Amino acid sequence: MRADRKAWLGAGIVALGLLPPVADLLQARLPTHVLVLLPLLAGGGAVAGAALARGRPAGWTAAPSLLAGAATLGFWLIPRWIDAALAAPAVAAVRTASLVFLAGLPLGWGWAQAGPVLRLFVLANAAAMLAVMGWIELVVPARLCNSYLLADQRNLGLGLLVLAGVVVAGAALRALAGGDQADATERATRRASPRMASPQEPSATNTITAGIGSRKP
Amino acid sequence: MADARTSAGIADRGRTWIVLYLATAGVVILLMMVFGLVMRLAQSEWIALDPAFYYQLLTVHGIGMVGIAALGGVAVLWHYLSAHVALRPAALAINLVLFMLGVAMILWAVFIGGFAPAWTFLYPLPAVGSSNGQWQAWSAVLDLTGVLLIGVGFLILCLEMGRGIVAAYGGLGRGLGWHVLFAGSKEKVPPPTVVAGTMVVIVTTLALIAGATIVAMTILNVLFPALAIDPLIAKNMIYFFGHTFINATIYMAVVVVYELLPRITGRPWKTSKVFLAGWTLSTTMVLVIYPHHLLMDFAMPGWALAIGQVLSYVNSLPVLVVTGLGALAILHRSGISWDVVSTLLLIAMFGWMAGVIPAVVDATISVNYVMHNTMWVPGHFHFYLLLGLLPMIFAFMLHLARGEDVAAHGGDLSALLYLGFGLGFVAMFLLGGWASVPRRWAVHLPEWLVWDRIAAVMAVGVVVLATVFVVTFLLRIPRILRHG
Ligand code: HEM
Ligand SMILES: [Cu+2]
Repeated sequence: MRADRKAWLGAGIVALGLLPPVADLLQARLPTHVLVLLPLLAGGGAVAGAALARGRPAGWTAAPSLLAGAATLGFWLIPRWIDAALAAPAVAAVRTASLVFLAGLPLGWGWAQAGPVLRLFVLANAAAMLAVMGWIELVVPARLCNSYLLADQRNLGLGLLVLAGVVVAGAALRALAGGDQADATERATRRASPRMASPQEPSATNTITAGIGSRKP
Repeated sequence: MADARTSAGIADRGRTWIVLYLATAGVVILLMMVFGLVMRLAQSEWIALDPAFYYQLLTVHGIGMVGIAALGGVAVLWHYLSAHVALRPAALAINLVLFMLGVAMILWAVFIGGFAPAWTFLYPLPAVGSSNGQWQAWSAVLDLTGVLLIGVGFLILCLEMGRGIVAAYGGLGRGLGWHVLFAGSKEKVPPPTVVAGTMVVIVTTLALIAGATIVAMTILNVLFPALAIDPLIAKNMIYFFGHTFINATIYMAVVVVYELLPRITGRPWKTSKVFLAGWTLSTTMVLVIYPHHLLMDFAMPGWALAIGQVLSYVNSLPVLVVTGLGALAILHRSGISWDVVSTLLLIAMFGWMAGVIPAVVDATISVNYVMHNTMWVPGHFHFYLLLGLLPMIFAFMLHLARGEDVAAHGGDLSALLYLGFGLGFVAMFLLGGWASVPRRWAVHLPEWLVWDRIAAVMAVGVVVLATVFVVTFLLRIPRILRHG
């Protein structure tokens, strides 16, 4: 798909999340609010960010972008701000904008720029964070969000734990099957920069050196 | 620019870093051994020690040895893996920095903040000790944050090794040789080192993710005691992490056996289907047998304990058998002339295999009722760590110290003495366990002192010989680096 079409796709995803009936439906329950609505908004930005990164290799931006995106996302996951976005339309608007442009966009960009080690590092940390968040939601005695019931909170906790498991299982299966090698090859051909295999190292194919180069400026 | 740096990295394969890792490991091993000796002397009532200080030493000795086992093990693995797979030494550097930082935090937390819940930081001990004034809450947070940092370092290292294996072999499944094992392919058969490296990457990464989760939860619990989690789930996660992490260190270090024995004897170590099957079996089983640490927890579901017992019997066996038989096949009528390196390798194989026996005994539920938390437990793990893992690391150090020359250089007496003292030391733990001496007690009854005292004497011998090995290596470092 061409880059500008991807950007439209991203905008479409965001718009879907903003449609009043959809937004109302998703915000009615805490699990869908956190596990569907927020990912829709950030995901739309991420699709666009990844599209922007095409043909603009800048490996050094990967880690800072991912960190910035994660921080923004983390901020809007704080229960106090989930409540605030429900109560005040202005906060909701700021949240939508920052989830799209300050969370999704840098996450998509950074992901596209990142090499396999950084990507897996992000996934491993995301899994641990999701598990910790889920566990907190399950055990904390009080309600964290004023707007939702305790049962919703427990469901969200379960959902986050399941998500953590899915992330780990997905990444593990991909690594077993060699998914990231396909990525590296794809990037190598995209940039069409032939690199020498190491002379004394028969198994060090182009793929490896491409994988290495892609992380270096 | 990137390419110049990259190919230089492949050429020297991070040699300077490997030497730095081994030097760090050597020095810390000696220091931790001295801490262990002090604990034994205190239990012997030969020196007077504040019990609180004993528990601090216990905590530092435990976490220090586990961490350094991983650091030394990964040095061995990286050195040999990087001959088969292109790896970027930057990961070694990042890990070492995080490791040092974490160690400094842990030492500060334990010796200045008084944090001493043993290396297993069993939930809810960190918070309990903080609230009843045994140690400062900040020290619990500082210690566990240090543990997190060290975990992050090893995670990066594992991911880099995993990336290298995936890039060179086309997936971790192929690193384990599944295409050979299940599809009969003869292409790109992974050498033993790659197989072991793949296993280590898989199990350590999973262990670290679980470990980070439970450490973070424990930190939160110290800070906000109202955030109480289920202690049994916490224990499950801690042992999934701890058991897997420490086991993997042996699987890292055993690579030196696969690489050196063939060089010494001039006979190749081929990857057979049996070898691959053994490693694949152990990869899965090492992840599911940790419940053998929870056999006394009556609330655990019966099936989990059954898995813990039954698979513990089988777990180590596949790799042990393929390694032991492989080594025997290589050594049989090879006309090898023994010297310190080859003797250490043989001791390592013996220590690993023999150490598994008391481990398996203790993983039997009916035995565990009696032996649990007795000295039997340190008995079995010191057996395969002191006499299995460390000899592998020492052999690697001495091998590098000789400029990787595999001709026999003598010195096997020192290896045999190490074995002798080590066996004596370990036997006293096991005998103590046999007599139901509890583990982790600062003060012992008069009836128990006999084992403590013999062990203390033996430990002196172990420390002396370990010093000989480490100092030999340290003195040769300038030459190793020059000949790099
Ligand atoms: C001269 C060598 C050594 C001596 C004198 C020594 C001594 C000790 C002593 C006295 C204990 C406490 C036993 C108890 O009362 O429960 C202990 C525990 C332990 N040791 Fe060692 N040790 C030595 C080598 C090692 C090595 C090489 C390793 C690992 C690579 C190791 C790992 C551990 C661990 C993990 C514990 C358990 C700590 C705990 O219970 O939390 N030790 N050691
Ligand atoms: Cu275990």
